[in-house]
Amino acid sequence: MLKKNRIVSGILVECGFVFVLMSLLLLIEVIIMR
Amino acid sequence: MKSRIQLKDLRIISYYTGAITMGTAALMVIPLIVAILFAEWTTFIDFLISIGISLDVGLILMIYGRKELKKTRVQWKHGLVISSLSWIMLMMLCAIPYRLSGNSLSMLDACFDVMSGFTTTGVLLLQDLDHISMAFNMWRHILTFIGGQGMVVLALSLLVKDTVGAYKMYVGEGKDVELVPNVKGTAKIIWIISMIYLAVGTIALWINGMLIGLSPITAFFHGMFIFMSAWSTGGFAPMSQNMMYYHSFSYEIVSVIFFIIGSFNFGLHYSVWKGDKKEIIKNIETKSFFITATLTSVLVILILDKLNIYTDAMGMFRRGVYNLLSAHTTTGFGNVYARQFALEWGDFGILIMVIAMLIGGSACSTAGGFKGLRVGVVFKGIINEIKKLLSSERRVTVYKFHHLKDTILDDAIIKSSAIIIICYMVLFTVGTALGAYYGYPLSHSAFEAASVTGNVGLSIGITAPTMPVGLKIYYIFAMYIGRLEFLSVFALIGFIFGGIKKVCVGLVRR
Repeated sequence: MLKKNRIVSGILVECGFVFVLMSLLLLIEVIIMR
Repeated sequence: MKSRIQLKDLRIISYYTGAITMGTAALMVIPLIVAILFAEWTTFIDFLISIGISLDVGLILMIYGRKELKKTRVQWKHGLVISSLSWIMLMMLCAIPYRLSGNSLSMLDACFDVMSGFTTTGVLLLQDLDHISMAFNMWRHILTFIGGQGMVVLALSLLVKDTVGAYKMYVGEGKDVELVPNVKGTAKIIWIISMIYLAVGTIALWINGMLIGLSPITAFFHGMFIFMSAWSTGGFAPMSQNMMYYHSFSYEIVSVIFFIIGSFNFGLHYSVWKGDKKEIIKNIETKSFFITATLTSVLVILILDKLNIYTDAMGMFRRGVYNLLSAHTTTGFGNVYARQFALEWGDFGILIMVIAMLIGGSACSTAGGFKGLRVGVVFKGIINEIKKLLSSERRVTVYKFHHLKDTILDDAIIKSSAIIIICYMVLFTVGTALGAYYGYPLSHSAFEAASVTGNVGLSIGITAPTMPVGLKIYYIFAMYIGRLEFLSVFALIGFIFGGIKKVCVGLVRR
């Protein structure tokens, strides 16, 4: 079953995935817009 | 000619539909309490009447079906019909407070808004949104939150005792991942994940709301409402300007995090929360989402840059990328006016948004659209076919994909994914054609049709109380069938026609 510390690290991993995606999109955007 | 439908089928369907209806009546107690807290007595009366009607209907259905409960087990046809019928029944009952409030101009408009909430779409016909009561706002967001997780899922975890039959209703609602062997356990885990995120998201948005100048109480309720919409990929907001009302980059960033996470498969959340962190990069759905979100974002940035709409990088990111991701995850939060899509983004920008809206989020999530899993499976199937053509005839290769576990990519999986995608495309094409028939420009019709078919909620300006009745009815149907992913609605249609056939046979025999 689910444990508290794993839930916290799970939430951080999911937020991290979104952060990586957003950073990549911002980087691409800055490159395109120059 | 023997009919497939018997009275015992009707009774068993009636019992469970009644139980789910009773659950909805219980749910109306939440806005009732909020109405008392905020001394909104007119709204209080509206909900009291709605609870009374829902209890009556639920009780009648349960009493009618209760005799058959111990004699007959829930079969697949029952489960699918209960799921699809419950959604229609609840749409009408949950629309009562809308109509009584006077903010919906007709019962059809009220049903439209409820179906939009249940299916986590987010388009609305509601009038004077900025001045509706707190209790009514709570009801709108509860509908979208419950709809995202699944109303039947909620009822299963609380009301239904027959776990074998419960699985059939669960699948009927478009969710087919079993997180634990017991379906009631699966339903409970879905709710645990959602409630933990509800607490985290509400606190994050509450603090953010106070930092941008909202009063603590307003910041709390707005934070909770926005989270409920973001997590459910719903798109409702308490104010008519949607995300523009907050005029805050940080508020938009927090909402984008939660609506992207909300569009993930519940199976993925469960795996990551159990400690299998690599699942997030191995899963075919997250890979598919990462690729399609990046590609569509790049295309939107390219066209908006070419049209010179947003001149600074942050402006482009906040409008272009935000709205694109909102469309791709089928959320529907918008921070530009509907007409800006039509007047500023150009046909190419609209086309990319349509593609993103149709692809949608993950299977077994709160999101709509084809789903990343099916796009990934079909794309991988095409690649594998090309590989087969190029390799030696004697060579036999087994292809796999990873979705929570390694699965062999056989023709049956590709076929079922392709069939659902084709069904979505037919629904979208008919919606586009209907919009064009009523005189709207083709690109606008396609945008709105993709928005309702994919349960997104962004509007280009077609959805309004003055739109043709035929279009309202089709959009309700598209939201409904798109959300339930065709299967259970087809079962309901088959069930109804079976029933009609039975009546006809009876009349001929007389």
